Order: sequence, then C-alpha cells, then structure tokens
Amino acid sequence: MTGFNPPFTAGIDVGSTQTKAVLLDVSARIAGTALIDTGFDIDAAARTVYARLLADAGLRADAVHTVAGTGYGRFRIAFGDLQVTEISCHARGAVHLFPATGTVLDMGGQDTKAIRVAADGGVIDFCMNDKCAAGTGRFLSAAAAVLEMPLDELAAVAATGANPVTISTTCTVFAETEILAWVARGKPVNDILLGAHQAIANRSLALLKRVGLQPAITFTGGVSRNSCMVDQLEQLLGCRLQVGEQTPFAGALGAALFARDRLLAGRQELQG
Amino acid sequence: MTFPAVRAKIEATSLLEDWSERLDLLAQQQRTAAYAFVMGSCAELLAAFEIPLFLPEINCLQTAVNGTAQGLLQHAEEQGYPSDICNYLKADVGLHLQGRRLPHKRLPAPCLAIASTACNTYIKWAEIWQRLYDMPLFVFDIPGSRNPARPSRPGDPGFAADLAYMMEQVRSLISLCERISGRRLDPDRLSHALDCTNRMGDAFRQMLAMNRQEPACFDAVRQGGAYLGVFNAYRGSEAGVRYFRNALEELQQIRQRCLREPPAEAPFRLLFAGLPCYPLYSSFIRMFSTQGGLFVRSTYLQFASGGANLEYRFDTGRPVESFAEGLLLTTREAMDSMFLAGDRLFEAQAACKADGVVFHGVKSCRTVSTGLADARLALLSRSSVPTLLLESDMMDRRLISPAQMQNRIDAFFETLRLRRQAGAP
Repeated sequence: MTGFNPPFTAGIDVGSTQTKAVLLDVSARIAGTALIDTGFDIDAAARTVYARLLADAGLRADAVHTVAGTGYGRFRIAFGDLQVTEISCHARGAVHLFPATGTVLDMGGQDTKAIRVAADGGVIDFCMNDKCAAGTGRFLSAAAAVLEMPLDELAAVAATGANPVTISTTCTVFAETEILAWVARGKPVNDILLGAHQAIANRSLALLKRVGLQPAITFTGGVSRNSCMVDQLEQLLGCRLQVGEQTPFAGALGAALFARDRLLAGRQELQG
Repeated sequence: MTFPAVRAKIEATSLLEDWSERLDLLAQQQRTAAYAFVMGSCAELLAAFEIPLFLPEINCLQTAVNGTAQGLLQHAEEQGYPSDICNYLKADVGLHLQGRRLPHKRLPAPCLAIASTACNTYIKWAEIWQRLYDMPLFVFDIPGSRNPARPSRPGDPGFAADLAYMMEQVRSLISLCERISGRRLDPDRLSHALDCTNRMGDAFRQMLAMNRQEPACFDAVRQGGAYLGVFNAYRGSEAGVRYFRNALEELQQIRQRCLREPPAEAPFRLLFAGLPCYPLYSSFIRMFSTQGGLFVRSTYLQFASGGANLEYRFDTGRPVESFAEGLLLTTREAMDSMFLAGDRLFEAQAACKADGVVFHGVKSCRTVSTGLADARLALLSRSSVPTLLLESDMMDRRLISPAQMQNRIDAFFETLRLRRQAGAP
C-alpha cells in the first residue's frame, strides 16, 4: 500500500447461470478470477464469489478501491460501488483481452449479444436475442437435461456427430420436444447435439450480421468454453474466433476496468 | 430538460375527448361515420360532405394507453385471430365483436370505409368491416415512388400520369360520398377544409423545424403524440387551426425561455424511428428522459401524420385537383418514410444534430418494422452515431419486457455518456 488509494479494483458479473469475478491490479493486469453458480440469492452469490476472489489472492477487502457490478443482478450487489450494463462490460473486457476486436459475440445463459466495438472498447452498436432463450446457453442446458447428460460433456459428444439433425424451432421449450422427437426416431445423440449447436450458431450469426460484422471477432461468455460451439461458429463465419481462458470472464473484466477508471480518476484528483 | 408544453397537452386532451364524445353521440343516435386510416384519411373531402370521420388506429392506440386493449385483443384471439397479426386490427375486431362499446364510450357503425395501398393490412381490415356491416369500401391505389432518390414531382411526365390515375379515383370517391350523404360536392366547403389543413400544416412544420435547432422545445415522442392526435382528428377544421396556432405560440415562448434559462447539462438529443410503445407510453419515454435523453425528432410524426411533414400546400383555387395531388404526394411521402428511407435518417440525424438514434420495431406491425431494418443499415453504413434497437409492440403488453428494455437503454446511455466524456460533438 502507498499513500494512494488501494491499488486493486474488482468486477462482479452476476449472470443468470453463473457469477464471475475478476480482480485487477492498478496496471490492469488480472490478479485473480473466481466463478460460482448464481442460484436464487443474487446478493449471496455476489458476496461468495467476491470472498473467494479475495481469499485466492490473499487480500482483504480494503485492498480493493472500487467494486463494479454488472449482469442482470448488478443492482442487487449491496457492496458494489457502481453498476454498468453487461453490454458495455463485455465490449470493454473483450477489447482489453484482444485489442484487435471489432465485434464481440457474448453467449451467456439467458441471452446472446452481438456488439460492434470501437478501438477503445466503446460500444458502437449492439443487438440481443429477444425474450426467448433459444440461441443461448439455456438452449444447450435444455438439450443436456432432455438427454440426461452432464453439461460439460455436451461439446465433446456433439463434436463426434457426422449427420446433424435440423432443430427448426425458435423456442427453447419446444426445442426440447423436438429433441425428444429425434430421440424417438432413433437418431444418435451426437447428431442431435451437433444439430442443437448448429441451431444456436445460426441464430448467433444472424445477430452478428445485424450489427455489421467487423473483424476480429471475440467470443465471450460462458458458452465460449464450448469447443464445439467455437467450431460451428468458425465454420459459419469462415474465420477464426478470438477466444481464450479469460473470455468467460470478459463481463467481469470489463466491470473491473470501469472500476479502475474510477480509481485512476481519484488518483488524478489527488495529484491535481 | 425542457419546459413542458402544458397548454398544448391540455388542449389536445380536451379536443380528443370532444372527438370521442361526438362519436359516442353518433352511436347513441344510431348514426354512422366514415372509417378511415391516418395515411390518406381524406378528412377534408369527408368534411366537405359533413360525413363524420372515425380513425380506428387512434382509437386503438388510446385503448393501449388506457389499458383496455388487452381485453379486446383477447376477444379477437378467442375468435381465432392469430397472435402475430396487426394488433390494431385485432383490438378493433375485438371492439366490434363486443358491440363497439368501450368502458366510457360507444362508437358509431361505418357508413363507408376508406383504405389505401399504403398498408396491405388496411385493406384486409376494412374488408372485415365490410363483411360485418355490408357498407361500401373504397380502396385508393396510391402509385408509389419506385425510386426513392428521385421520386416524381409535379411537372414530371411520370407524375402527370400518376396524378391522372389519382384524379379518377378521387372522382369515384366523390360520387360515392354524394350517394352516401345525399348531397353534391360543394367546392367552396372543400376549399375551406383544405385551407384549414394548410394552416395547420404550416404551424406543424414550423414546430418540427424549431426542434431541429438547439435547444429543442418539445419531446417528439411524448408531446409529438399529442400534436399528432389533433392533426389527424381535426385536419380540415377551424378547431385544428386554432390548436396549432396556440401550440406554435406556446413553443415559441418555451424556446425563448429555454434560451434565457438553459439547462445545466445539455440533453442527449435523440432521433426516434418507429412506433411508440403505447402500452407503456409514459414509462417508456421516462426510461429515456430520466437519463437525460430528449427525442428531438421522430419518424412517427412523418408517416403517422400522413406525410404532413412534406412542404405541400393545397391550392384552394382548384380544390378537387389539388386534393388528389396532395393525397398522392403526402401518402406517398408517408410510405416512403417507412419503406424507402434510404439516406433520410442519415440526413435527419445530421440536420437535428442527434447524439443517438433509437429504433423501435413493433412485432405486430410489419409495415413499420420491415422498413426499419433497411433504414437502420443505411444509417449505419454512413454514420457512426450510436444506435439502439428495441423491439416490443404498440398494443400488446404481453410482447413487452420492461426489464430487458431498460437494460438496453442503460447500455445505450452508457455509450452516449462515454462519447460525450471523450469529447464527441
């Protein structure tokens, strides 16, 4: 610690399925990440993930200057100092991870968004899926539930499919019925799952085109961990996606960067 | 933000209540009215025959604002009307199925319906009335622009042919109105009605022009809706002229006050494209105004005013010909502002120095929403102005998710603030 403010900032992204946290040092280097399932108690999820983040980094709460919340539960984070939408945060986080980013595709549990970004991480335009969860991670969760398969195994199984089925519906609930119908017709599970991945990738492509695709494309959100989805998107787009270990944390990272802006502004005031 | 145009709002409410009461009285007396749509309503011609005018679109949006629309939609759906067709049409069908009765008013049956090819739903909608009431239906076939960059103008050879086509149709409608009303067309009465619309339009266009300047004097979605209601329901009348004269005067006073007492922080000037979200009318606008947004211009004021934004003045010395010409030009303008927007939004955004553009597509109106996609892409290809795309509905509360809407609006304002902090003009 110095005479300056505490040198760390944190971002907490309370998503519909998982809550992510990122700790940044004053140089904007990632000093830690944490991830838990959100559950029904948003405030508790935020507290738990933040406690884990600090514990893993060996820090006390007073080492953190500002905590920024994002995600649908951002206003329920009682200890948050500021709230920023996940749209702005994913844009900022993606550009921080991959400075050449022109477009961000964020695929989370409940929504998918395409964001066209400026070089500074600012949002130029964005589009999101509508009220239905078709085309989001929830769609894959529904498929996993119907097929009684752990979510983590979906990508590996789907990747072995050779003749994907067509999932024509635009509704997650009816997609379950459609998947069951394919099972009843004796279609192999891997082909059904590959079809589900393709259905989501196609819907995401439409979103990306609506904002005007600008390379490079960075894939963020929880589903960016799904290697089959990455493959399907890359085939459709005809280009490589920018994706990495930190991309599921892009929202929380963006929030931490907005928190860091406040830290730096405070320092300028002190110096001024 | 800006000073509210209180007098114009009160007078608009009062005039629209009077309009409803007159329609209610007609219904009580078992008398009828002409049903027409805001694009190509023929209000002046009907006024010349003293045939009362009912505008179902305005009635429908009023039911959405006052919360009675849901029951009407439900009524129509129970009859098998699907969930994804025009909800104006469906609410109106629900209204007719329940005997044209609303909680505080009744509506007269139609003696005539006037539709046009400006919207294909207009035609199917009017055919439903025809089946229900067995009354005449007149459908105008409006020649389109075909080329948005170079629409034909008076004096062009192509325009002369289009106008001749319109004249034949207007003559047919006049014959029909003569038969329904039992009187001959009085050209002087038509001239007077056209003169009234000229004067209303003069004031309305001045008001729209004032808002292009800084500071803007009214919110084009909130206050613009009141202006629009009166413009449509009272076009061709002295009451309409008085309203717009007063409204213009009030805006001029507001402008002087804004110049004397500028706000501490300049609002974000926004351009609105699409239809308002009537089921959440006030809260929708508040989602923007509480974050410092002010709609300085709205495409709704173009197409929903039947193209009154166009600098067209009827020639009262040749009323029938000029009525046909005005009908062609203004209805075509209304259509083009939706389907052939081209560079219109880019030019509008530059002219009113908008900081951002808000697109509001509605699920149940393809006429508006279809053109919106192309208009948005045309704007994005030429400008880096921040845009926001919202999708909900103009009638059906079930199709609206306020939390999702608020989240997107929040993100839009984060972008606007960051751009302003970075020194964006």
